[in-house]
Amino acid sequence: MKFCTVKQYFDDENNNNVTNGIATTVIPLPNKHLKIKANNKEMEQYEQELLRNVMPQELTKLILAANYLNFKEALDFFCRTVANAIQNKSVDYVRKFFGLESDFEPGEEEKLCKEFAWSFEGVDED
Amino acid sequence: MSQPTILLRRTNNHLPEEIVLEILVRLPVKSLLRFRCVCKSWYRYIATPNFINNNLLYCNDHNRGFFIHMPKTTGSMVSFSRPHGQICTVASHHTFEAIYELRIPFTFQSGYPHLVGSCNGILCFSDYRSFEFKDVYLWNPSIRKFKKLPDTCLTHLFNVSLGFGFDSQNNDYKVVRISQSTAKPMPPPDAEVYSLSSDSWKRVGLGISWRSNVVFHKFNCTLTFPFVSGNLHWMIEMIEGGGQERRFTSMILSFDVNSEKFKELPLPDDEGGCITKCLTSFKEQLALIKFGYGVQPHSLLCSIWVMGDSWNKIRVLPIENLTDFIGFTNYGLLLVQKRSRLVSTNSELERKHKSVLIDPETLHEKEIQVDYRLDVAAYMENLALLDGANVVSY
Repeated sequence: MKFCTVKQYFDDENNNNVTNGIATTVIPLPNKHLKIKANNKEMEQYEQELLRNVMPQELTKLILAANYLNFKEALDFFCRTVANAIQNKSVDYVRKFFGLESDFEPGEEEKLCKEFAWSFEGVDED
Repeated sequence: MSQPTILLRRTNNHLPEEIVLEILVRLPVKSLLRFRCVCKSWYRYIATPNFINNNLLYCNDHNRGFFIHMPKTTGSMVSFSRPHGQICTVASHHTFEAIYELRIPFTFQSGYPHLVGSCNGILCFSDYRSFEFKDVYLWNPSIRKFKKLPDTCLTHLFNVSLGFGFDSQNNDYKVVRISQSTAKPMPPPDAEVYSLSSDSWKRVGLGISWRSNVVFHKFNCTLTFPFVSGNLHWMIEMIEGGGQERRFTSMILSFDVNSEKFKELPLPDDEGGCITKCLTSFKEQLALIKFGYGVQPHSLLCSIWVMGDSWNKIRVLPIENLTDFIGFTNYGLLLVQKRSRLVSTNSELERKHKSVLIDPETLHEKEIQVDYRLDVAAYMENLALLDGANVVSY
């Protein structure tokens, strides 16, 4: 199933979702997964290794590629990676990370922050 | 990544909604509560019941569940005015090592909280006072909010039993209260159900044919009542007939939280005499545990029955020095309390109880570091109870 989509991608000339560089990162993943599925520690190390070689800007392209290729394990891995990276960050950091802007009315955001003020404690410095 | 690098530009390569949700669903509750402030669409995503459910499912699938234990309020604790610590300890599912503590953020008139149940990390407590269980609270420790339920709609509360469950079809939390009547001969009990979505109680007819010759009935309520496959269960001990024809019988009352209907379930056929029996859950199935006299002195024979299509006896094992059955863990280990050695504290001899985990297959025992009578429940993080009337933050 995975290989059908890959073939489709290579045949599809108008596809600009996935560049060659991405393909070389994403496609070897299933084999690696199968090899070290049992060992969680090894998997973590492999994931760290992989991320070190990937520029942060590429991460979004990797996610889109994995999504396009319908590659569930890679999608899970990349989403988990992003979740781990942002989980202890501030609201501002997350906005910049995803290119989002606050669209709340003045005062509305402050009210929301106050509701769970304790959730802002212990957050990483930007 | 120490500097926030712009992950994407708004014009192209914008992450579609379903991807953003895939990332969000993997986040812990504390992060999600904070990220509600990122923008309006994130605020909306995080509040939808579907997302809350998916977040819960993700936690369950990825072993982010815990075990919660607290001192059990008992009759003797109340009679001897021994204070209740009000602390719930959250412990590891596997090792039972304490991870952190939660202090109950509300107080009861009697000062004694009674754990009614736990569903998806929402805890239900009531006031252990003269068996009225009048005040009921729902508490979500993950988001630090609790809610006191409105007063009963029944005219009279007596010898009450409560049950707490989750209606997965309607995404609604429900509490059931069954109250006995003081009239003689004892009529069938009254029942009412509370739903979080309507924030109100509603009378529910028992709807089962109550045996006409019942002269007395009471709930066997040593443990929190099991919520299994969308049904709450209670065991009722009854005395049928009068005079010479008196018979002691038991029945299981089950309540479907979705259809809000009661049903009677049979007990296992094997009615060999036993000292006591408890209704509980074993690996997400309804279970019955019976204790009978063993061969050795100080040893009880414990029979475990599990309800599939019908009752099935899966194991019989001897347990020495048993004083209390607490429950089964998610992995099917038996948690009991045993009589321990005499301990000298402050020049007085005190008999301490010890809590022990027993594997029913291997009979391997492991002592865990808790020495009071326990109430236990499964616990996990949950975003539910986020918005609602009469919800208190702390």
